[in-house]
Amino acid sequence: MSRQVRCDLCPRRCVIPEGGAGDCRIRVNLEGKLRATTYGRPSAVHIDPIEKKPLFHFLPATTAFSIATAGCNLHCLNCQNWPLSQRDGTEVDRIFHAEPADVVEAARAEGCRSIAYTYSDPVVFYEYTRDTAVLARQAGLRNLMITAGYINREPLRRLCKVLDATNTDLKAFDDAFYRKVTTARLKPVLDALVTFREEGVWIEVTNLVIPTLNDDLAMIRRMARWIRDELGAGTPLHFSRFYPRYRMRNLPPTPAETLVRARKEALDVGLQFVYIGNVMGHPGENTYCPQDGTLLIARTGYRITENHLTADGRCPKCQEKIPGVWQ
Amino acid sequence: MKSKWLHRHDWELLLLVIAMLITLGGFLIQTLGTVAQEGAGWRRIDTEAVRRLIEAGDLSDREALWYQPVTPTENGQAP
Repeated sequence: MSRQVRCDLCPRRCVIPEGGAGDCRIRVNLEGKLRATTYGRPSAVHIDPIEKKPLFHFLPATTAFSIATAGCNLHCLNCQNWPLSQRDGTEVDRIFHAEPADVVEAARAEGCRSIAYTYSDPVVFYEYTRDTAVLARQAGLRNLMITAGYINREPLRRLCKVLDATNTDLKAFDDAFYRKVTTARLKPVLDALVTFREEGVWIEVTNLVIPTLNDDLAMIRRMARWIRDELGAGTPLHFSRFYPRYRMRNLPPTPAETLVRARKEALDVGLQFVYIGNVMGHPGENTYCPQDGTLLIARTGYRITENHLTADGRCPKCQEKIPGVWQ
Repeated sequence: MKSKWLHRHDWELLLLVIAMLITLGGFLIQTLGTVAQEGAGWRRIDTEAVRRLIEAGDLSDREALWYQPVTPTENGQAP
C-alpha cells in the first residue's frame, strides 16, 4: 500500500514516498507520516545586531537571538549559507538540542529583544519557528522571520499571527532569474510579501544585486514600483552587494556604483527608504527624513553611530513620522 | 597492405572516447538536473541514518504540519 504524502507547506508541493524527504531535505516521510526532523535541533545559534538581518526600522541597536536548522527549499547558486542550507540533518557539522522553551529562555538571558528565524530558511523549519514564536511572544519577545518567502499563503497567514517583522529576499523581479538561479518561482514570493502586509507584519525587503544577472535598471525600476504600489512607499528596500560564493564564483563582487544607481532608481520611483548593504561606511547605509533630508540614523556596518529620531519615531526637525517599530 | 578494419589500438581509442563522452554526459545531466530542480518533488536521503539520529535524540520525529496522504489516483496511478 502506498504511503506517499504531499507536503503543502511551500509551492513545490513535494509528493514524498515513504523513506524520502522533501526538496528541502529535512521534512522526511517515515511510515507515512511527515516528520520535521530538525524540530528543536538548530545547527546555528548566534546573537546578532538586528541591523545584520537587515532590519533598519525595527528596534534599532538591539540584538536578535538568531537560530537556524539544516535545509532550505531554495537552492541558490550563490547561497551564502550553503553548508547549512544545502544539507540534511545527517550531514551538518553541528546539531544543538534546543526546544522552543530553551530558545526563549536563552534569548531572555542574553538580553535580546527578539528572536530571528534566519540563515537557512525558517519556512522549512516551520513548526519549530511557530512553537518558539508562540512562547517568545508570551515572554514579551518579538519574532523576526528572515526568509526568501517561498511559502504557501495559508501556512504563512497562520504563522503571521505570531510574527512581528520580516526581511524578505526579493532576489529579482524576473521569473527566469528565479528559475535559473534559485530553482524557485517569483510569484509565490510576491504573494508572500502581500500576505505579510495584509497580516500587519513589519516588512523590509532585500535585493542582492548580482552583476549581469539582475542588475538591469529597468527591472529594478519595475521592482521598486511594485514595492511602492503593493507594500507602500515607506517600505525599506536594501540593495545588497554580491560576493562570489558556492556555485557562483565566476562573477565579480557588485561594484558600489551599481548599488548607487539601483538606489537612485528606487528613490526616483518614490520609495522613501532605500539602503545599500555590504559596502561599509557608505552614506546609503543611513536613514534620512523623506520630507526634509535630515540625517536621522547614521550607521557603519551593523553599528549605529548616531540616532536623532525622537522617542516616538519622528524627524526632530519637521516632526515627520518615520515608518517603523522604534521601541 | 592496410586493413579495412580498425586496428586494436583504434578500437581502444574509440572505446576510451565513448567512455569519456558517457562520463561527461552524466556529469552534465547531474549538474543541470540540480539547477533545474524546481518542482522535482522529493529527494532520496539516507533514511537509516535519519532513523539512527532520531533514536539517538540528535534529530526529531516531531510530526510536521501542512501535509496529507496522497491517494493513488491523486498521484496519477491506477487505484
